[in-house]
Amino acid sequence: MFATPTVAGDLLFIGSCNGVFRALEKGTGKVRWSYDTRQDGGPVEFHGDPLLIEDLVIVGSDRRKTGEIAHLYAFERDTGKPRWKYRINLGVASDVVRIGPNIYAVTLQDEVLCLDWKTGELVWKSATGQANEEFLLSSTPAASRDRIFFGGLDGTVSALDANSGAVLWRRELGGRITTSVLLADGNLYAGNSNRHLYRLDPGTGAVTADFAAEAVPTERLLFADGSLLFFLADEKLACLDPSLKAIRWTQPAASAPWSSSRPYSWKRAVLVGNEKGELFAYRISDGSLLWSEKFEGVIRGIGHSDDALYVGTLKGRVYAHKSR
Amino acid sequence: MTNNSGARKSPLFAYISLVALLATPFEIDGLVDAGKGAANPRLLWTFDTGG
Repeated sequence: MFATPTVAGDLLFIGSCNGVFRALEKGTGKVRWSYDTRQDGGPVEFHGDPLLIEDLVIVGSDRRKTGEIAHLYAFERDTGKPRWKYRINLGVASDVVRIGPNIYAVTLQDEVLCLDWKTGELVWKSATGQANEEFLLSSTPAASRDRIFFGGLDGTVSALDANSGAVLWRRELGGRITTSVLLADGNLYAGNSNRHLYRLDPGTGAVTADFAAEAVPTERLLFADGSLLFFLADEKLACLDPSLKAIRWTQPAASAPWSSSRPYSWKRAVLVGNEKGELFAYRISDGSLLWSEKFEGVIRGIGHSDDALYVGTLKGRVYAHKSR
Repeated sequence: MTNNSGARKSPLFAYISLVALLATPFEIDGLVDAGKGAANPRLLWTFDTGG
């Protein structure tokens, strides 16, 4: 599994790479409900994190084989019954974001979809036209009050009008966008395959800072405690000043490559896991090691509640672990 | 105690079988109750999603 185990109330929502989406009781691990996508022509896979809106859990699925059918699902939170499902060719492997009555998702075909979250009806669609024959994971978009920011496989970052889908600006960055697009502290951030991390003006798309990295920035970017944190390939965890002028600290993957789906923020620490099942908590302010734990398997998504961590692994085992 | 061939099993075999059964993680629909007696006392439960 790749997605983040996500807590809401007494439930833990988990999407798996075998096409099953489950709600577990977070205290016991017992299954409250499950939904098997084989009934819709799957199995497909779940890679993005669920979006919780009122009584719905909205999550994208994606496919790796021809003939399978992917959907964006809206499950009723308490029962798992699909309120609606929206068919998408290759599917959605990134996180879904919301502005008011609409949700926004980026498909594996480099399209931005805007849907009414209550009904699943399409409001608008915008596409770069870029093919994705390698099934590269698409970039998670960012949302502001009235704009959607989208990083494309075609190497551009765009701002779209949230209501109409009209392109407000588009910035060519010269390489496939390899990270999520992050809106933080009035700035927009995105990394690309040319080993750069950019800071852009959300109003105009102008590049205001450019960090040349030693490896490709990957996965979701994290902004926490005034710092920007991200993986450099699977080799390093980097912590930068938001101006991108200074590296505050880095943590190399010492015993095994970093493997968690992203760096996670947890009580002024950043959590990351590796392929040996080692979970580390580093203090965000200085990068010092606070604690570590060992699990079986390659660590992927890391969720949390007030008193527990939920650690997902590549082969599908989830560990509920009392937090420190 | 007899096996399928009718041969009688020893009490030691029965004891070892019981210990092995008790040591096996308890699974219901993916739930693996590894909290009790596990090497990591902070582990509350584990669940195998299968993929």
